[in-house]
Amino acid sequence: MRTAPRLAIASALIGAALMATQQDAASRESAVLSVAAGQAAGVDELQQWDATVDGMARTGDLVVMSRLADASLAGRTHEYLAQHYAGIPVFGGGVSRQLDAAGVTASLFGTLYPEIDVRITPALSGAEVAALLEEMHGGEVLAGGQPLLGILPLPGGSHALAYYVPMSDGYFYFADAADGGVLLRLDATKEQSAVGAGADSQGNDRKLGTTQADGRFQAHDRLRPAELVTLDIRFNFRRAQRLFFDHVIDGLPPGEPVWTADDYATDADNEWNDPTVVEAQAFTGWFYDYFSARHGWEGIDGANGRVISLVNLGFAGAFFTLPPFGPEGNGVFGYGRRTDETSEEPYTQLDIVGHELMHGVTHFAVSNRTGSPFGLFNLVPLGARLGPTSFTDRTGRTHRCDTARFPGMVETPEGPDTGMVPAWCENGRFVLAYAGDGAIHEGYSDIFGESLGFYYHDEDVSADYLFGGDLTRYPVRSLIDPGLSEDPDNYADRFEFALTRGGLLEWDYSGHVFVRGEYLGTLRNDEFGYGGDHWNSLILSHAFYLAVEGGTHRSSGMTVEGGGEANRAEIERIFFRAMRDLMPAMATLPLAAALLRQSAADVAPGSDAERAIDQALRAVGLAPGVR
Amino acid sequence: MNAQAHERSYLPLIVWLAAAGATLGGAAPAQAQADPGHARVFVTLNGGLQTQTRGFSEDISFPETGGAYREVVSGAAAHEQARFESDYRFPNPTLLDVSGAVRVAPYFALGVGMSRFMIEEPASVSAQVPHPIFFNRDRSISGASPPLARRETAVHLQALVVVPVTRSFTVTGFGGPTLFEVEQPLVTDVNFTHAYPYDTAAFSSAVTSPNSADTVGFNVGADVAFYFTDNVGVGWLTRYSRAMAELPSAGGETLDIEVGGLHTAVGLRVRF
Repeated sequence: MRTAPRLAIASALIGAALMATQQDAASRESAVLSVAAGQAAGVDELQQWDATVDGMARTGDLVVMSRLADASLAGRTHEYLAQHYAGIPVFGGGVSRQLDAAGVTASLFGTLYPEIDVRITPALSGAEVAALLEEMHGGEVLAGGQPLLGILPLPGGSHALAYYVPMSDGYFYFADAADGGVLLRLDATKEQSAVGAGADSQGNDRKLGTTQADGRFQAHDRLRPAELVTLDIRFNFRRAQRLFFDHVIDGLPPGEPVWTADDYATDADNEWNDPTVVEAQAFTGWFYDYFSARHGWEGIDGANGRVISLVNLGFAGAFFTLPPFGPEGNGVFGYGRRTDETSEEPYTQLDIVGHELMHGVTHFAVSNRTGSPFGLFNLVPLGARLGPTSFTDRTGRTHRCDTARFPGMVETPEGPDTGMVPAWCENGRFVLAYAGDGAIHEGYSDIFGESLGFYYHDEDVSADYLFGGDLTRYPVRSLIDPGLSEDPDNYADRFEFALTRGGLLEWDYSGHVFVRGEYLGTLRNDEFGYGGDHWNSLILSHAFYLAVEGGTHRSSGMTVEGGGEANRAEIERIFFRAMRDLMPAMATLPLAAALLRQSAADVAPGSDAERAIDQALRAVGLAPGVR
Repeated sequence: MNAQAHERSYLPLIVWLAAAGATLGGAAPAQAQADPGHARVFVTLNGGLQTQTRGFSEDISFPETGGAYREVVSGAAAHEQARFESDYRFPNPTLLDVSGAVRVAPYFALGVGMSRFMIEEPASVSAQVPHPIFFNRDRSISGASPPLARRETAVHLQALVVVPVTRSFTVTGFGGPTLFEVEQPLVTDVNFTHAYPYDTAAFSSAVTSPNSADTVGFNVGADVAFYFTDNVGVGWLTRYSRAMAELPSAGGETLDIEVGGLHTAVGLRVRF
């Protein structure tokens, strides 16, 4: 009974999509519609999309998940409509609709799957799938949360009825509701690349919010509307494991802590001697203050939820892990400390802390609005395209697409393991893709991590567009010159990866990297599963830099008239609004560029900031119409 | 501190009063026969103004602590010094002045007088309150204390030169030591309120405590009297007195304030 209207809607959608964009002949997205109808679109196009969305909403194919007032523009409202199929959510499918004060649609962005045709009765219950996953993990305890049934888009345009299950190993699993097979897994941790060791912190005095209790001081800030807590791992792996996983393992409701007063970072006299604690606690507060003052965003989750950081982890790096992991099931931030024979260096400098916290904000900004429990995550390789038929890697080995097998996840009698899986081959050509979601996540984290430095420039912190610029060995990334870390500064030069298809997972990124369709290199140690998040992030963050500071782009030669200091705050607001109000659950860099243009047109039409952002996006190869 | 202040010796006053009393007692039998121009005893009763009550200010700093942060300036000195300044200014208070003297030589007399005034004035208070989150971002607040009652009692021991210009008109010059007792409440802390993001704070109230001190100073002055009978007249008194008093300060030290001032008073004159 539902088939006919659905097909009609699908036809309308496809028609609209073809009218709206010039479909790349090499695109693998024929079953995925990226909706990008904003200020750059014609009125007719926007109205047609709007009518389609209304029609889908009437039939229940789109369900309003949230309706929020615009924090920047009075009268504006943002709806997120999640795609459903026969009452079951379609993972990642949905559109963000912006309405003006009169209720007229101003923009529509998102991703829709028009050709869903699956049985909606699961052969296995959630508990059965959970048990299977537990067994596959070799006896590891399964996540306590109830598996969520939904429609998972698969490569090639098909779909599967699948359960979404957060697992205790730090991954989100999508398991086939028919047989429990793993279709996809997502890493819940947004990890920051590890870099070198060096000197201690910068020697500046900082204040940090603490709590006096039991004759000592705890790193628990109660001064701000959101409580900020720093727990000290003290390089104890068991403690880290407990704080990381026990909440999930025990199946506790969100907000119920598994941490105790013994886990606090503490000090006897409130004169804190551990710079890691000082920086994590103080800079988390600064981040809170910046977002509250500049963007009206309260805390990490936008609702002043408690923020928990772990310090003194035994690795050189920092991370954010999504809910339901963490000591209260609401995600957690972690900061390592690199020690070697001559030095030790905490990874808690302002821009690093800001970077990780921004991952949290990005997650919750999208998750709160879209209902997607994993926030901004591409479940299908959006923006994929066809590459060469064969290539020769650096070892001299030639890979032909139809016979190539790359390292990937396989299922073994002992559980998931690394094995060899087939390359994803279409018409004899490798399918290439990058992780647009990851690039946006990382780009935004760098942008706002660095923006903190400029906001607090009176506090003896670096304001330099160099992520990790205070680390003794490196800046990790330069927003000024992405080439410093040999990363792309132009969308045309993005790093793409040959995809794999099959094995344990439906698809994954191989370790073979391509630029402009040509083989560039291979990740070391047979690594795979990385979509170039950090590398490609510089395309977006370099655009931000150009929008503020201006300059001539290295490869495109385009000159950007930067907005300058006078427009810095406006540009930051435009960027954040694009994430907070417009970003759908899945996205590519071109979609992010469209959202930024929309945000600028909404907030500051005709302004220097809008012009600077548009010029900067064009300079980095993200002109309107680019896919 | 107050008890300590009261331990100061009253010996000069006692000696002076004894001497004046003895002189007065010895002269009493003769007073009925005294020429009005050469009366032995003078009594004055005045009402007037103290026109030069010195204001003062106090700057108190609380050294930084590592303790809990409270919404009072002394409790806001968390890792950063907190301070407040209180400023005490006074309009001209009315005073009551009474004195007496006994002639001990043709143009010379010894006497004692007492003046007293009370005035209530709020102190203006300003404070620099450290920011709980950032260094070097003090918030400025200001306000006023509740009215603070300052009382000053002065006992003036006087050597007088009495010059009868005419039978009815007498000019007297005098000087001597003065014993002061001053009561002066002081602001000891400042309550404030603030809320996230703490970029501003608001004055809430001043915490005050009573204080008093005794001290010794001097007085000089002149009196012009016109007697419309042999024994009764009116006069105009001008007296300048001054001393420094030490009050205990909330900052742990002492606060030196100036007491006394210029009295201008008119009133009744009696001689016999």
